[in-house]
Amino acid sequence: MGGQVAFILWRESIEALLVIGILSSWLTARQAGRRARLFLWGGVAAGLAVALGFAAMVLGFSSLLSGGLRSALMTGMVFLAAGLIVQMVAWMRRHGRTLKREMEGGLDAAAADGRWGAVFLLSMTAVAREGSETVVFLYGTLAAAGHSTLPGLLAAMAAGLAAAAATYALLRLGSRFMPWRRFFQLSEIMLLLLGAALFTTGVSDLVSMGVLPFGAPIWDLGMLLDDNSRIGSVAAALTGYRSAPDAMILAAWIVYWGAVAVALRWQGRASSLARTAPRNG
Amino acid sequence: MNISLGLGFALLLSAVLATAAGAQTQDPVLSLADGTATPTQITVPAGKPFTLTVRNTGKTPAEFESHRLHVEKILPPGKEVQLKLTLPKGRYPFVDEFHPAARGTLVAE
Repeated sequence: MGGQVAFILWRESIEALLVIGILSSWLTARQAGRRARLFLWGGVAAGLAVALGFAAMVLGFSSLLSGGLRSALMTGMVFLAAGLIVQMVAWMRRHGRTLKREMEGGLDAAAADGRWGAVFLLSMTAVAREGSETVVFLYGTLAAAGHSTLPGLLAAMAAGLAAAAATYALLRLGSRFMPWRRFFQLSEIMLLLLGAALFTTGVSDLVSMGVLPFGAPIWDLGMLLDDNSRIGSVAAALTGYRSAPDAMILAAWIVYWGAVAVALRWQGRASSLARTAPRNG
Repeated sequence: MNISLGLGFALLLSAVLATAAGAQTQDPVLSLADGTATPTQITVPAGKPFTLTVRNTGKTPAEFESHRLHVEKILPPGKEVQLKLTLPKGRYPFVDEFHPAARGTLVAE
């Protein structure tokens, strides 16, 4: 039971931690300055507030939004986050080398603020989504605990939070000790996979709302890695893995990775143009 | 007169009860209670619409999840959710994400 609680807490927070850890490492390494950090942590705080609000609605303390509207909002958030991730990765690629110089040159503070706005939105959606589930889980589990089980439960929760904090610290350490290029490549892959997970969840939500059709699975790898198992559920949350995808899930994967390929290729062309432009002019 | 009215009423009542019982066997109810799922296997006719009621009868929150069914619903204690489904033939595993020991399968045949 205790290990279970710790594991669930860790799994529910890993997604947000990945996003925040990578963004934060990136802002540090590129010396983006205090203002950018303010947007990042402001997004985290706003995400927590949204998570608490959603949790209150799920628990029935508040009926501000109907269940249908709430899940529509959640689905919208998932797509928004997936889009922001792809855009962010493309932008990081382009500005990986030049951001510091641009900032020092005091270039375009307003444009930078616009970009930090995206950082704010991304950290907010990352925290809000799984955050509301975590709050319901914590609240409900604590509310049901008796006097005898409470200490063990609190210890398990502390262990789960410690595991989450350790994961975050590991990520930040990695950014410091790994060659920057390697860390950047790794974080790029992790972010894009996470975007795939979000996009797949969004499409799945649309199927469950009846917007997209429900279909029979095309293949079944359940014997190999079941997406309802411990490892399988983590793989699903971090990469969009499904052991038995139907046509809509398959289409989601193709659309997402196709869009990523197009966005990065287009970005690559734009940045190579930008690099040659000063020499020409 | 009175007797025939009473008889008619009894007949009507039994008819209502019969349909209620019929509806119950058609529309399955899954109950999740702090790590146990009852029943663990639910069989439904393939291709026919039905309503699955998932009820949290435990003291702790549950999260009914099935990637195959495209469903992820958090259920605080005492709450229930109705899912309108029409399933192609197949097996649809589900799990209570908050108590992964509680798992089962919906079978459409």
